[in-house]
Amino acid sequence: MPANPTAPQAPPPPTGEPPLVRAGLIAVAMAFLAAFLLMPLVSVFAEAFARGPAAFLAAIAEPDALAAIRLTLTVAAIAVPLNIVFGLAAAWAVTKFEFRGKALLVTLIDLPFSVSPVISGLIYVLLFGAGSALGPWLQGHGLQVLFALPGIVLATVFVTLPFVARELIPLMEAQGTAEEEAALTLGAGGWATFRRVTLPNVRFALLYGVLLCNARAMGEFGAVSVVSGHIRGVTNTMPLHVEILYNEYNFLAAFAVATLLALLALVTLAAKTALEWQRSQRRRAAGA
Amino acid sequence: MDVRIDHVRKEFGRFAALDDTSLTIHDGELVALLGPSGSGKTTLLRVLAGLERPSAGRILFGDQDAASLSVQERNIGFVFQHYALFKHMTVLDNVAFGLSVCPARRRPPRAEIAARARRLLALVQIDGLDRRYPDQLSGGQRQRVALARALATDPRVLLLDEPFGALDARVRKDLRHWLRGFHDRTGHTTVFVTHDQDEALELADRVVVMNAGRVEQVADPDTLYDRPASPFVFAFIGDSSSLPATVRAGRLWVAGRALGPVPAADGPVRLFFRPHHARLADTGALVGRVVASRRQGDRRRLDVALRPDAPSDAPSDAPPDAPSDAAGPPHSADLPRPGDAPAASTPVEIDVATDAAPPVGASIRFDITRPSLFPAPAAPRRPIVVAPRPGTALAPPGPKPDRAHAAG
Ligand SMILES: Nc1ncnc2c1ncn2[C@@H]1O[C@H](COP(=O)(O)OP(=O)(O)OP(=O)(O)O)[C@@H](O)[C@H]1O
Ligand SMILES: [Mg+2]
Repeated sequence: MPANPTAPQAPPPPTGEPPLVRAGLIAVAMAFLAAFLLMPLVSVFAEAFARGPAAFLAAIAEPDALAAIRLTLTVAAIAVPLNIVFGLAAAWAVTKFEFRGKALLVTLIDLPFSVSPVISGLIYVLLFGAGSALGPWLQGHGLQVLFALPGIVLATVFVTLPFVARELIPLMEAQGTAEEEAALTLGAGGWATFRRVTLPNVRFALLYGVLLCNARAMGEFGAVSVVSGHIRGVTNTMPLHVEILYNEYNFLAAFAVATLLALLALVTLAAKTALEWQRSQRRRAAGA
Repeated sequence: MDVRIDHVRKEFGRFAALDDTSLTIHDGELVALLGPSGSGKTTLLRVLAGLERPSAGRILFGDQDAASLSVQERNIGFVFQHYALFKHMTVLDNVAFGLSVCPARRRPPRAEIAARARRLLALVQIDGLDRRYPDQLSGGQRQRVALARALATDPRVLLLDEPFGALDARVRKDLRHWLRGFHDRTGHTTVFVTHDQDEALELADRVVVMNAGRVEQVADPDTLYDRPASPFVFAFIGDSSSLPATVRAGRLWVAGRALGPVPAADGPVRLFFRPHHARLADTGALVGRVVASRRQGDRRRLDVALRPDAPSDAPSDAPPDAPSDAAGPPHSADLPRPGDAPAASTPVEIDVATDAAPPVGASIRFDITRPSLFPAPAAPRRPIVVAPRPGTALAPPGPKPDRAHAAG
């Protein structure tokens, strides 16, 4: 009479894959993350601090580097708010109203994503360059667009245009207008409805769009490179400055500035995580 | 303050969701809008609230034309079909919203707002959940929050769009009683939408039956059930069967048999009756075979296929000029004749006492004790689409019921 020789095994979870498959999938994902994200990030930091923190600080405190940081922050400080305004207006228009040309607007919003950044830069050279129709007029009035801050801002705004709108449109479409209508029947005016109902409902999508937009505004290389003119200490943004330093074989300085860019990305990620965590805490506290 | 809806029409593109709708809602009344899906109930509420602008006609609040009032100025409490609670606000903030957005000079102080919101939550009997978010509530609780929120601004008129639609039968019933009691206590003028006839009949002072963008009948529940004004209302409210019939020389003829004298003009008619207005009788005028039998409460309901070919003992009161083998008047093609498919094959429903229920397959005879007659349907009902040229006169309203009741 052979009794069942094996100990009773825990049945597999009803929806689960075999443990081997699960472990394999996790391993593959982790390996990719490590190879393509973590290692480069670590090596950038390692290279930047290769000769100690003092050398790192000196590389960053160098006047041209400081100028590049200042320019990058200025560009982002202009481009991101513009993007928020445009994104909210476009998403509002597309999702809450019916009007002619709506499909065209939606398509156009995506345009900057579908053209190469170099082309985006060239558009502005064609528009404002010496050979363009506008060029002589601008020159006559002493307005410098190309190879100056305005050109860099314009190119950045163009490249980053879709970020906020793209995040908001699907969400606002899904949410519909029911809550806004409820607010209206409760006596809220247009502005109160927007501020107290619409905006809070989309704030995480908006924040996410802003973070992406900001990262791109600070990191944009192609379009800015075309319109900047690469004047050291004047029209070089951080990415352009990194490239120049790199081409001069000044690896330490190049990686030091690159570290700052990477750090910005990490900070924005941390900010987003913190916000989400805080929200979930608040909701948990409210729950029974 | 009365609310008057005066020949309102609402078009979406070329489709008319409301077609020449008129209705007066009296001060303090509890009115139900009842109708099948897509009949324009929500649209009518939205037009009342100012969320949609009527394409034609007008709405009067008291004697003020609502066209000049924005949504905010109408001071309406609206409970939406899916509640539309503010997801990102706590229950308390949801209820307080209406007060917190009043113009500064009318806005009560913050503490007062919170206190009033709490009082409202107590009124709808969900105190203690102030700090929850809407997605942490059950459907019934959400419903009450939506109601409390709508009441916060002390609205002149309360509009409820299928307030109990998403709830299970038990909660529905509780809330129904609660709403009736609440209305009796507070006396808000209230319009609520439902497609549940029991709800409408049980709850409302008056019921408005809507169909395809039109008001079919406005009546108190008793009148609506006992004296429906149109075939649609008859079929929509309660259970009923209908048969093609004919009036000839003041008598009603069904499937080749005379039922009795009726005060109606000669011609084809449609006969409606309720299952409990049929009575088994050995001398019954109608003959049929039981094709199905099922329990309904304390009675049995039979599906009876009428047999038009009369047995030899035809009713003695049959007029000599209408022999039972050719009962249909000759002047109309769509009249029932012996052997006509519709009369023979579409079963009618009748109720019988459980102890007297004949078995399936049995041949029975029965009388209709309270038949209601309506004009026979002519062409299919005109689809409601907008006339090609805006401003052209609308076609006349649908056929007016030419009702007649006859004792069987
Ligand atoms: N915004 C709109 N655009 C186009 N058609 C609409 C719109 N709103 C409603 N309709 C149409 O108007 C008709 C009436 O709609 P309404 O929402 O009033 O129906 P209802 O009686 O509330 O139905 P239900 O019981 O399903 O809620 C429907 O045929 C619907 O398709
Ligand atoms: Mg509806």
